[in-house]
Amino acid sequence: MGKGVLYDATKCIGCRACQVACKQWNELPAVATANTGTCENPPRMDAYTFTRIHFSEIEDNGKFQWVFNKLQCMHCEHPACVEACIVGALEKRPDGPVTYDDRKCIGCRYCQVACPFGIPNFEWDKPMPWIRKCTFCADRQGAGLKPACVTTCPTGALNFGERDDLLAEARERIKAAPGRYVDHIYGEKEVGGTSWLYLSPVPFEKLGFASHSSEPVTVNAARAMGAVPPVLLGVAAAMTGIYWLTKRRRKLSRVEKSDKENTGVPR
Amino acid sequence: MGATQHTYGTQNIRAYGILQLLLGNMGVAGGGINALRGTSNVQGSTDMCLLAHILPGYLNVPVESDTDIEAYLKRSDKHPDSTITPQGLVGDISSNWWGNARKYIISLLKAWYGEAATKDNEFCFNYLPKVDPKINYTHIGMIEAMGEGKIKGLWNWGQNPASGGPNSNGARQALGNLDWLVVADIWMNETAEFWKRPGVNPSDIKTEVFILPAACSYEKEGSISNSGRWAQWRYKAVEPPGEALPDLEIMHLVMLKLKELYQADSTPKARPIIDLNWNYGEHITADAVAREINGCDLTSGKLVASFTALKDDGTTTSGNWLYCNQYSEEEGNKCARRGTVDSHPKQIGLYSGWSWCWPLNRRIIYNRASVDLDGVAWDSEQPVIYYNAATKKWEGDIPDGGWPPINQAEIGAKYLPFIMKPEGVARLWGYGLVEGPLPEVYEPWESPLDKNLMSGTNNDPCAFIGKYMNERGTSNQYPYVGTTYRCTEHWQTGIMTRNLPWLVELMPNMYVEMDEELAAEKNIKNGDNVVVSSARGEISAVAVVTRRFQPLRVGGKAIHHIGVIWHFGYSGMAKGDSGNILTPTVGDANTTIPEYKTFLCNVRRA
Repeated sequence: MGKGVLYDATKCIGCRACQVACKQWNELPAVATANTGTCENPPRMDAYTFTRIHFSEIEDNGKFQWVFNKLQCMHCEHPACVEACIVGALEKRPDGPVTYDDRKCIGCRYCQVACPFGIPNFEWDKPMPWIRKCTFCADRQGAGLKPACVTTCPTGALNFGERDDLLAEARERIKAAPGRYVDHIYGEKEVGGTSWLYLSPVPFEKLGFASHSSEPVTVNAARAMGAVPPVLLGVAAAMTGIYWLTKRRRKLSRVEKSDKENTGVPR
Repeated sequence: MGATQHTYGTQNIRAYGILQLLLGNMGVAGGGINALRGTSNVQGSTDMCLLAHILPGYLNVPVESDTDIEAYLKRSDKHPDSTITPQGLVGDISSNWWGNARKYIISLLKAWYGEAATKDNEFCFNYLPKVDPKINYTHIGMIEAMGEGKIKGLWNWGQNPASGGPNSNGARQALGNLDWLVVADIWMNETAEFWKRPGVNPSDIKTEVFILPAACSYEKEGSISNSGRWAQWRYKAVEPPGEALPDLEIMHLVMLKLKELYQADSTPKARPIIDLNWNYGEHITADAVAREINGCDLTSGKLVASFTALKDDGTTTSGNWLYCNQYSEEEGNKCARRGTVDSHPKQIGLYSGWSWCWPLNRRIIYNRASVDLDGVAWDSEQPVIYYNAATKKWEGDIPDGGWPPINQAEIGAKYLPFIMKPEGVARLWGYGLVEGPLPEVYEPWESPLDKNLMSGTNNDPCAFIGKYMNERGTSNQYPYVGTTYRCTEHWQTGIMTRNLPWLVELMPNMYVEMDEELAAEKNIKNGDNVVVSSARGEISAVAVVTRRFQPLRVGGKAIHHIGVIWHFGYSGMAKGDSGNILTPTVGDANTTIPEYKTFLCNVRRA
């Protein structure tokens, strides 16, 4: 059975240590930001920001609340991005993470279009861009560690474990304190279920969560491609092949270069 | 700690103390007043005399009239709350622990002056600087004196008075009156760069500034003491970069040089330096200092096991009597212990094997207040200590004095729980605070109200009011209440955080927070740039307009607040105006803690 994370918005204090821990583990650079009238930053997720805390000041049931929610890849049980990927660069692993293999990626960005949560991001500013998103710290999990964000969370708002156990825990929390939570575990059923699960003190739509049915988002890449005239497809295939070879060559030289530059200091 | 940052801050805390006493919440599990400190080692700094009015272990600093050690020890009558040897109520109601002060000050002098300290010279008591009780030696008192040109040199260690203290414009101006300034820090800060701050011409400033690069906490070894009084040992993780050195090593090198410079000097002023006991070798270690703080028995050469072993005849040493027992011959450095088992018989969560706690690893002080006269715990579910009548022993935490419970004690040793007080009980009606025996409600120095609605006296009559560049605003000109605080992402004046790109990304700019009503009145939209001003100066900031701020209705009047973070300045990677440009040079009547929490200000769109 797969792993998951239970994020309890009633325990989150918006400290954003998770954002920093994510950047540190993934060696992601800081992006230039400005205060636009909120303590929230960076303003959006991009190729250098895999997770962020969204701040909401909400009136609900006559009670004013400052509520936080964490955004990152949901690691769907039936990921649309995996279905959309024509080269198999994205993969749902049985233990939870949706991983991405940049050696296979051809840069088509179908995954970006397919994702119901708008998660995969493209390195627009790079000559050889890749898709970037939360990896669920698959590398850390492989070494028996929890995801970096979970490890650093000071309040226990993030819990890592077997998805089934977390669902039971979430139900238990709602039962024990029904006034504290809305009776809904986001991610239990949405889009066929996600590895990341959410508890909230206010209705999820008030936090900006999209309302999804319990049906997995289906993407039939083969049918979509079939609609393209075969000649164009042939040209596209040839160009893709050239593109792939070029990219692979550049990538290899970059790996070599970055190995030399690796001083062990996170940049 | 915010409760302390008022002209009446000590009275605020005293009100908490009275409340907890009335509730019976002293000495019990989950009781007491547990300060949320502003930094990790504030407790350690007061334990080890970083404050101007105490020596290590809360012994009094000598004053001018303490012409000899006897005068110093007798002076208790004037300051009963910092009593050294209280007169009067002693005997069978209180162990009156400060009565041991003679042993502690003499052991401290022996630690400092070694063989030079003898009975005949009063253990070098006269080497100690004597303060003038009329002079305020605290942070803002020092800046005032600097402004008046009375202080010529400043050694500034891990502090940033150019934006960390109140009234930054005044503090920055005052720094320019120095002949020399040494700054030891891990980054260049506003104090180190005050001479090239925006708006000044460096050639107008004559102060010579020296920078000493210091190691940060991960680059050195030592202990920090938290507000639960646990002294926790930390190890060095990485070497400091470049020429940076731990503060302790910087101090060591300076002291060695000073000793060398004064060696040939035969005047009396050289004696305290020449005679200072400084046998650390070429490099000093935190371990050696920890052993010295614990103290030793000079007869046996062994570490003392407890402050009860300290003597007043010069045969024992201790750098801080409260820290006796932190290091032992058998167990070594107890601050480094990492026991994760709760050895308390009722598992109340004391974890007494984790690090070490002063005094004597007693985790909850005044714990004898948690039992009745027979030693039975008031709280049977979470007892801190209790007396086992069969074995005639206390069980649980280390008791606050090991004598039997009052009903079972011998006549002459029926000691009440508040062992530091000569009367053995806590003081609801207390003496020792300058304003009087009970807390009273006062308005801040700058208040939006014309009169105190709760009392006939508007302001704390004993507050410290600075004179140097300290204008007082009126509510006509400055109708809103400013208050300073921190955000999660930045620390203190931001020197440790505004230089870290990941934290700058989270909180890139100086901002202020205000309510929607005030913003609408001033035509300020969320995210606009605004100027906040006080009688001391003005700052630019981004406005965060939020419902988290709500006007208060006081005396029928809407009072708006403006929340100001104080982490920014002109040094470092992310720059911005310092919140403390707005705050006044006024301090608490008893401690001179600046009134950062309330002042008058105005705001307009930039």
